[in-house]
Amino acid sequence: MEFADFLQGFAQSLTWTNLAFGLLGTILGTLVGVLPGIGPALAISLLLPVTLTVDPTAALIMFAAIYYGTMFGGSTTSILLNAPGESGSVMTVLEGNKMARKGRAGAALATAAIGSFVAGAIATGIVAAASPAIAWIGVRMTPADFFALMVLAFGTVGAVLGQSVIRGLLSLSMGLVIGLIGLDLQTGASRLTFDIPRMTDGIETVVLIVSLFALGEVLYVALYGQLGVADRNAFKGFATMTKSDWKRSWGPWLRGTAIGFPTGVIPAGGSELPTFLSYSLEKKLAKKKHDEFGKGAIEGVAGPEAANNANAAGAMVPLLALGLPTSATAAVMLAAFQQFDIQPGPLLFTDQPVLVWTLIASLFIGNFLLLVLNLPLAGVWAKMLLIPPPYLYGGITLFALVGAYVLNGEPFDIWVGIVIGILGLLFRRFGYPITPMILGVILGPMAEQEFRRALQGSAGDPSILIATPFSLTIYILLAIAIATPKLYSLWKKKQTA
Amino acid sequence: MIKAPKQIAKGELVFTSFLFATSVVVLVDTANMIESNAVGFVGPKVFAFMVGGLMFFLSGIQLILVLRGAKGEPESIEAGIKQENPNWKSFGLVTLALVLYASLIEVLGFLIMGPVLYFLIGKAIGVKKNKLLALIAIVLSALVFIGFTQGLSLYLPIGFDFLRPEADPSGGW
Repeated sequence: MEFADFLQGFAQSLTWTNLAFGLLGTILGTLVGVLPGIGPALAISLLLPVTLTVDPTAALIMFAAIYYGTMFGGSTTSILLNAPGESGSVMTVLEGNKMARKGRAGAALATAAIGSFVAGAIATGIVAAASPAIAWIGVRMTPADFFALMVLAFGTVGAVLGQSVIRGLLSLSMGLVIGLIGLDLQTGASRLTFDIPRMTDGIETVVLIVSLFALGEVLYVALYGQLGVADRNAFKGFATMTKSDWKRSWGPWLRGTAIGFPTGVIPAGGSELPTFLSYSLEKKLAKKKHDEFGKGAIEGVAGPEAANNANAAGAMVPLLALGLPTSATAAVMLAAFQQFDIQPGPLLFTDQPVLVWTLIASLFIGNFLLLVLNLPLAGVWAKMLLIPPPYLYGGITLFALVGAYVLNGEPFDIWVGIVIGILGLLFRRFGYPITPMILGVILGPMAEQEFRRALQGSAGDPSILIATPFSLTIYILLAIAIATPKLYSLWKKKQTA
Repeated sequence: MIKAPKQIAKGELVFTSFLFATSVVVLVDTANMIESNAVGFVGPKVFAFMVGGLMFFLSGIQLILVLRGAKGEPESIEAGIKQENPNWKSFGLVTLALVLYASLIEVLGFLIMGPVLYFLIGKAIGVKKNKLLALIAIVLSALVFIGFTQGLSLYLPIGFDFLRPEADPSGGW
């Protein structure tokens, strides 16, 4: 069944309108990725209201293009500006900027773009192959198993991100609290509404995300930031590579993909880890041949960039197959799906197979458009870096507040946004990560639903939560995921002492 | 990394206390929740108690850690450098812009409040060229207005309903 559905999904995606939206997504995604202060999660959430009245397929193709586009934009900033546009591009700065300083910006941008494409294509292929299998398992999972998976996502994202486990988990619990606000869907009981009628609908996910990311950032920059114009490496024309660059890049692309994909599938806390691992591996391997590391080695750009894209595509597996987001961007993608009443998860594969394949096809198309567009346009994106950052923040705020308003056409959502923006500022100021909170808000209500379903099935007996080997394994994995970094740092301390 | 200075960070203490107070509010609200009889085995209270309890426990521990000197490292700023001392003037101007926008968006409409918001935020963040900033504010807001109302058929207020008492109460595009 799958191949026919796959072809049908592709055919459905390949209309002029959808391609136009894909192109628009690529441009918008790369543009906002190049601009400082806007990562993939914020880019998609700022653009969510734009797609309120658009056909779901077109909107999803646009989101896929934005998703990949923001990551390429991030690498452009890293290479030309010596400042990572987003966290997955931190490692790219090390060698990419040095290459640009030596006049090899074109090769660095090209290996980033082609590497991202190769990794994205391979990883999307694995998503296409693996998701139905995982969805097959998903159909057989009990509500208690799903609850265990969500607890795993909460635990790992909460504990891995941030400066301390407790700060990550507190951020998560704040998200869970916000997720409680409103009427309980099953019984109609009101929770944390404080007799304010408008609160009974809860807090709109889009309002929450744009406020936390955009307003929180603007308030934080106003209070503590001193914006300046960074040193920029000039670049004009096409991004191209020499024969030797190709020879040196393909290995790192494939190794980066191999590292990035699995770390995207499991909730390992984003793209910092795989890009770091890829960089370290390439550095080790380069010692035998071209050891240019520290002076602008192309392997140090090719590997981490491929790892970053493969990681992003890997996050699509749990999202599509299980309805489980493992990163902030995946959580925002889930909110985007929900906007169109699409609930990703195992049932989607059986109920609406063509839609699933349309989604996967749109990831391929988004990835392809990105390559076609960005190699010739790299010079244009480089010009975007000339925009002084202070001019951007007004635009970010304007878009965020328009997004908050158009959902319901009420200023109430703007007020809610301002309060959440202040919360975002405080989280930044006191070193609390934002991602666990977003995950808590989006996954919290789903986790509660599965929890209650499980306990209804067992007549209130809580032992049902650990009754299957699957859920038990998940809890053991969670314990390992939380304990390993602690034990590792203890062991390291002992070694150095 | 968490530094451990000898002094208690006052701001951190206030924020952690706020988190602790939030957990207490959740627990009290849940305890006072009116549950219908037809909730089955697990009603809306159980999960809310779990969440409130988790936050109560975690913020309690964090409070103790803060009292013992724990201090979080503020996030870095992507497009610039983070200053040690807060700039209350900039912060006040951004807050004023947000509050004005929320209060007056339906009274004066988006075409006035959009540029006001952009201009004030730009000034607060450090733009020196007033004329250019004002021009971008007007052009960008007009483009957003046309894009959303005409292109996407989404509602943005044009305001000034008070001048048109007989007008349609929805008053927008």
